[in-house]
Amino acid sequence: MSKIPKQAPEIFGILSRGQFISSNGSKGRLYDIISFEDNFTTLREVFSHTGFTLEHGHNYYYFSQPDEPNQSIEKKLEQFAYYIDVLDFFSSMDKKPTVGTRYRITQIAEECFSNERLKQKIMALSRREKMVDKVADVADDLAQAGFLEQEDEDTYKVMDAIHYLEQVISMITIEEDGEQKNS
Amino acid sequence: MPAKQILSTAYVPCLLSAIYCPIRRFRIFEICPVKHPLSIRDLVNLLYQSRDVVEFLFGNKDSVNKSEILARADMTDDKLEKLVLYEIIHENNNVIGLDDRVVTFIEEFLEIGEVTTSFINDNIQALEENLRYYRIDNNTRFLRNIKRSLKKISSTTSREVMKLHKNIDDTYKNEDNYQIKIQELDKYKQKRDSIISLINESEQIVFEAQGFFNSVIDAELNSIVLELRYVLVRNRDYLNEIQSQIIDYINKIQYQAAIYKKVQRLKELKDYEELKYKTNFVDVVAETPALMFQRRRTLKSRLSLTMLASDRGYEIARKLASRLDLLRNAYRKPAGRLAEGFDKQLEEQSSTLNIEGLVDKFMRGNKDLFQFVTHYKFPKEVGELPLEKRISLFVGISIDYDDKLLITGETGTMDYVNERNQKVKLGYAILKPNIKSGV
Repeated sequence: MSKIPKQAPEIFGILSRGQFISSNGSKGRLYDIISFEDNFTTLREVFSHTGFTLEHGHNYYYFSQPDEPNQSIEKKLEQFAYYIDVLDFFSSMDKKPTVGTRYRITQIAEECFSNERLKQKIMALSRREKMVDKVADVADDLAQAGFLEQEDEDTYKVMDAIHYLEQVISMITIEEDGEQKNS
Repeated sequence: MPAKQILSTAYVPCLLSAIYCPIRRFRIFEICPVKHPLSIRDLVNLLYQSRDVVEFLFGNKDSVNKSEILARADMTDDKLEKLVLYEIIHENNNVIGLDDRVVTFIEEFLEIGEVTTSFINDNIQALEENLRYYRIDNNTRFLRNIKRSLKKISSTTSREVMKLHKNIDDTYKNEDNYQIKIQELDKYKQKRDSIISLINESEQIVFEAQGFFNSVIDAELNSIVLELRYVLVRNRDYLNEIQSQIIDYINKIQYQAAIYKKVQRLKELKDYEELKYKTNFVDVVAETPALMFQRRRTLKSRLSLTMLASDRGYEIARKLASRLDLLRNAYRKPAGRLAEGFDKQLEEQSSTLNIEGLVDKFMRGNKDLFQFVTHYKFPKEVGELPLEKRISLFVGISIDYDDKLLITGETGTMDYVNERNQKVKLGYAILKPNIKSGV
């Protein structure tokens, strides 16, 4: 086995919190370290002893836990249902969330004011009073999970990890009811 | 080309001079004297003198007001007039813009701007024409034109391909609206196809004319033809690469668009509370092993005692204590540094003093304990014990082994000189071995 990179604890700290390490964010440095030579295999082996599996997606890394307690499933469902709401909100905007897209909170809030549909959606997502706060609330949620990253006070950037959500969405099959075909 | 048409209609014959004078407006004509024809040198100089304005106008393609230009420090009415007269810039209803020819010139050089296949096409036409003419009349004029067309085909093809690649990349990365993005990419796909067919056409012409090129003894022509062939092959390879990139981009966008459509559909179902019944949402999410959907368990660890005992630990504890205001009564300072080797002495004693053995010996005799301890000859390793230590030993034994001792209730006295040379009388309890304790 080759040498374990010295950043292993830092990587573990981030991933064990359920966050992602994306190539296009501030954690890009760690992404590069994991991708370097056979570090991925080494780290995967090391972390396997902790009960977590190091996984990689398109330009991002994350932890999975194969044996999980049953009671957490409900929590998971709830959480993902929330992400459906959030993604639905973002996909209803003029600017779709693709990797590298930058969003400005004030800009989104502005769009919400002028678009009744968006307004309704954001109302359901956050209970904060001001529109800007509502948007920031949602963006912070996504940032905490590692799908967005805050670049400055107003700007958030979409991370590679968004592919993960897309992947899960694409796995869901919808019963045919003549309206929409599953892709 | 519409741009050219606009320009040609704007050209008006100048009545006062014998040459065609491309002045667009009679108003300007009336104010200005006859415009001198520009030499290359004049043109380059003019562009150089107004380089800042040209740069500014090139960057702001939309609309720049005349007042905005005049407000610039490097611009005066005269200068502006001159630029308009020589058509570097044109003015229309107080809106100023760079002349199309200047814009095209800059774009061509910087390899930016829209991809146009017409340039390549024009050159191919010219090449064909000149080849035809040269066959009729072996005039070097036509040969020169052939060379020029060949050179131009190779340079324009390379340039357009470069532009195509730049524009595709730019569109994918910067176009916000995905519908426009996908249409733009589609447009570039078509452009790419037409460039490919133009490359094929050029290759065909060059191939057919190869015999003719061979018959003309001209080293320059041969190297140009070779170069062109090489350029065409290279660009075709490049275009194939571009093709797969466009397809990849389009697929990605369409995939994403499908995802977002699906998200909206899922949201709809969710709002109708049908998500769990009409989709396999529950199964999919349940099988998703990523940590992110699980309850966040924070990994807790305890403070390391070793760390706390270290200097760093002390510093941290102190900081915390002062923050929590725990030090307000702490007048005690930590003890000073202990003497070197203080712990060694203690160690030695406790390791060599066999108290158990001492008590055993005492039990076998019938002396009183105080006399026994003060007069006992310890082994050499222990060395000579001072009286103070012997007394503490006496006290220690009397406490620890009190069940083996017979407390007689009598007391004895002993004379002794202390460190300050004072005569002291020492009183002690007489303790005898308790035979009944069964030793």
